[in-house]
Amino acid sequence: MSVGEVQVTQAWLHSEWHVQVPPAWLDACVNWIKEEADRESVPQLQLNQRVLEQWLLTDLRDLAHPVLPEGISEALKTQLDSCYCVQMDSVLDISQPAYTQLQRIRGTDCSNDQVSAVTQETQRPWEAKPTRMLMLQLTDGVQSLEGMEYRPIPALSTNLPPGTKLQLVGPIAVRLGVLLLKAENVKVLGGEVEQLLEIYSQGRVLCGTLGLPEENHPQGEEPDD
Amino acid sequence: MNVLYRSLRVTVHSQFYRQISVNMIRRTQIKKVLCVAEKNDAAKGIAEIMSNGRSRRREGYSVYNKIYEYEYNLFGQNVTVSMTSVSGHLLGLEFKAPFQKWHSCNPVLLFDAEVEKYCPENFIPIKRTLEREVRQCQALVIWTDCDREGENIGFEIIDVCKAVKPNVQVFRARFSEITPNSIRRACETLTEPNINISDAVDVRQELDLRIGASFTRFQTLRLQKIFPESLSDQLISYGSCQFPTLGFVVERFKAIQAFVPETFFKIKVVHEPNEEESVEFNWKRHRLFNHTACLVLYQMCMEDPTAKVISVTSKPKSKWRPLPLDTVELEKLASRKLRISAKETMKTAEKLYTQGFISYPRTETNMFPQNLNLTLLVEQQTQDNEWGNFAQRILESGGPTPRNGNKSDQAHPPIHPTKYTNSLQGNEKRLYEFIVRHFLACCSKDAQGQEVTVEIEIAEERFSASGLTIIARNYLEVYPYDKWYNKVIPLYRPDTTFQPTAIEMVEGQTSPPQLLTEADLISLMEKHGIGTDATHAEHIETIKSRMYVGLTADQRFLPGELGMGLVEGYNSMGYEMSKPDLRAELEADLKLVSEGRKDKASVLRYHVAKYKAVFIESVRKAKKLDEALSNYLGPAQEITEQEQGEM
Ligand SMILES: [Mg+2]
Repeated sequence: MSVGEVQVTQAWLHSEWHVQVPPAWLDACVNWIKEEADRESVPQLQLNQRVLEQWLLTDLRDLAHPVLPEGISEALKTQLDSCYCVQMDSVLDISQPAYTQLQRIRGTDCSNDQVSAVTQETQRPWEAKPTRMLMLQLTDGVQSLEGMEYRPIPALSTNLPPGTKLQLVGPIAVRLGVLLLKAENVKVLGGEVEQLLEIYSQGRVLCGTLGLPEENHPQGEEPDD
Repeated sequence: MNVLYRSLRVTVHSQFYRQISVNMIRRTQIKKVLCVAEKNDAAKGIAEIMSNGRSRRREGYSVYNKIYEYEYNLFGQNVTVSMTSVSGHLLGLEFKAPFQKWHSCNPVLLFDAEVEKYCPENFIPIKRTLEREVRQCQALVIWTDCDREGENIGFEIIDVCKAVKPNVQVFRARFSEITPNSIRRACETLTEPNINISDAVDVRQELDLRIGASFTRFQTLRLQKIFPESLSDQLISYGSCQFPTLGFVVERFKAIQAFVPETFFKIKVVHEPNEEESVEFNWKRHRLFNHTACLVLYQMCMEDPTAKVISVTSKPKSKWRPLPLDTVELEKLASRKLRISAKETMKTAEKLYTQGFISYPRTETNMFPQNLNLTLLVEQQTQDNEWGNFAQRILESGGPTPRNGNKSDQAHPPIHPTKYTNSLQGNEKRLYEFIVRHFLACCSKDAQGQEVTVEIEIAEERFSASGLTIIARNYLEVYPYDKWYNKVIPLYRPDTTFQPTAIEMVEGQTSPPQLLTEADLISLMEKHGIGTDATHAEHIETIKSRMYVGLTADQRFLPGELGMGLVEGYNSMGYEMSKPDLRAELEADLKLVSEGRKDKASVLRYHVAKYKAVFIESVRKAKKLDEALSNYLGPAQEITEQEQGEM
């Protein structure tokens, strides 16, 4: 392995993606990619891309390489000005009851629950249709903190898999340790973390919020006889 | 259910009548005509109109069903009319003798056992009257209610009469109210009875009998044995409508049980510009289910608590007058606004109808037909002390302008008053008043108001408040069942700022849905096609009388232990017995039969087979029923293989 190659990759990650990784992980990663290639040479561009892919699928906790300013999750009021790549462990829509969301994903929401004897509907009252607000559980691998969807961010959704990597672009206001995110602050890089898929699935997150036992079997799957 | 008196076997085929043409009949000499209405009250009312109050009253064999006699010009000639009545259905449907006793056969056989129509003992005097009277008549005119049941009752009358006088000519009078105009028109436009509509009722009756008897025998016999202490004397009936109805009640109860309340937080802004005025602004975000997130936004507001007025918009707002009244709306509104149950409402409405005060109360139509003279109907109400002036104003300001819906059953107009009265008492008076007020409201104008909405911003968070000025109450003046209030808010100007009196972070909790009211239950039955507008009230009454459900102090339905256990038991078998789908499909097919688009025999065959399959499976999985019920009624009694086999 040539030292030059690794450094080029490291520089590329940093300048293109603002991704910072510890040298030991990068060395190991490059080695592994080359072994996989079975002595065929791997062009630099391809190597860069393969390293990035590996990083997207890695749990940043394994890298233990902090990037966020220390103590940010305790800050009462501050601002993040530069660019940081972090991992989103889980996401929850806090503009709606978790119970409603749980029923919806389990397919047990029953439209009959909404039926009441509204007779001869008169003009519909103006109903506040709440704007979505997602609450993200974020980590840079060492420090965990929350980010709230302060203004609508179309790129985010509750369907993003746990472990998705995000690029946060300052300036971002921080209050009570929570990032106030707007669309221009967030770029979704992709990826996921296999070990987190189950434990931070929407069903589990919603059950946790509600203090319900986590069910592995969705309802209605009861065997017949 | 055990002893049956069978005095009639119906074998006459109705196909024959279809070929009668009205023109042909007019050439034959008709001197005497038998008219038969559905109830004595209706017969009396129709006779009074046709005879101008000069009918002679005679007794029949039944003390409740009189005979009214008078002369009338029918078919272009003077004829003598005998007007009498039945008391609803004249015939019943029952299994043939070998299958009638509860222990006579395995209940599964009831899906295929032979059935026949018979005249129950208490109706035999009525039948004898018809037989005696028709012998002297050349024509028979059916005056039963113009709905599905009425058409079927009509064919029962025809069958009885044809059996003793095969060549009697048969006609059908079609009418929606017992008023002079409507009765005269019916006499001038006699038609043929509609066999398709009657067939649909036959199919329903036969399925109800087979399904009801098989499941009722099966579950009653089994559960009485298994829970002798709690159920030994109890009839545990099953009906393909009552079970889905019960299912709705249980479903709602379980939704409430499973509900998990959650705390939410919101920011409330109050502004009191002076001593008299106070406005509360609502947060555009409505509420957040996370304390920290709300606190962050609240703190931002508190750091810069100046409100900036973003916009002030004013737009007309109207409150719509009610639609013409159909049966389901009548039941729901009477239940909610007058606290009269659906069953009582229909009973009372029927009485008002037979006395000629209102139009036929079983209708799915919520649009007035073109040819209905609404002005005349409004005029009739001008003499009333309370709403007379309002009726007068409708006439003086351009006449009735009804708001119309889009449903029509092509048979009856919306429910409306047909005659003025101020001599009613109790619920009859209350219901009549409601129908009149609803009718006048519908013929009037929407209430008009002006709504002002003020939108403000504090620390980039949006809030809004609105006020309402009612400009013209219009229909509300005659319709106290709807409420609409003025709400005054101070004058705000765009781009100005002010300091709110208070900005607060408040919390609240989500709450479960409520137990069903009768009106809710009717809505659900209608939504899922369980029963018809004519039968909703009966099914609800059945599940109450079987103790499957009870009523709370505020008149909401609570499932009882037996009801819960039965629904859970059948649900755990994997069958949707308490779900609406099976029955809804049947109702849809019945409609097709009544429209002549599906034939009676194949619909019967299909649904018998379907329910039979469900029955066989239910018997096989009967232990699930025991298990579910034992959660409520205590441990199940062991039964032997042999006993099991006997069930
Ligand atoms: Mg009737």
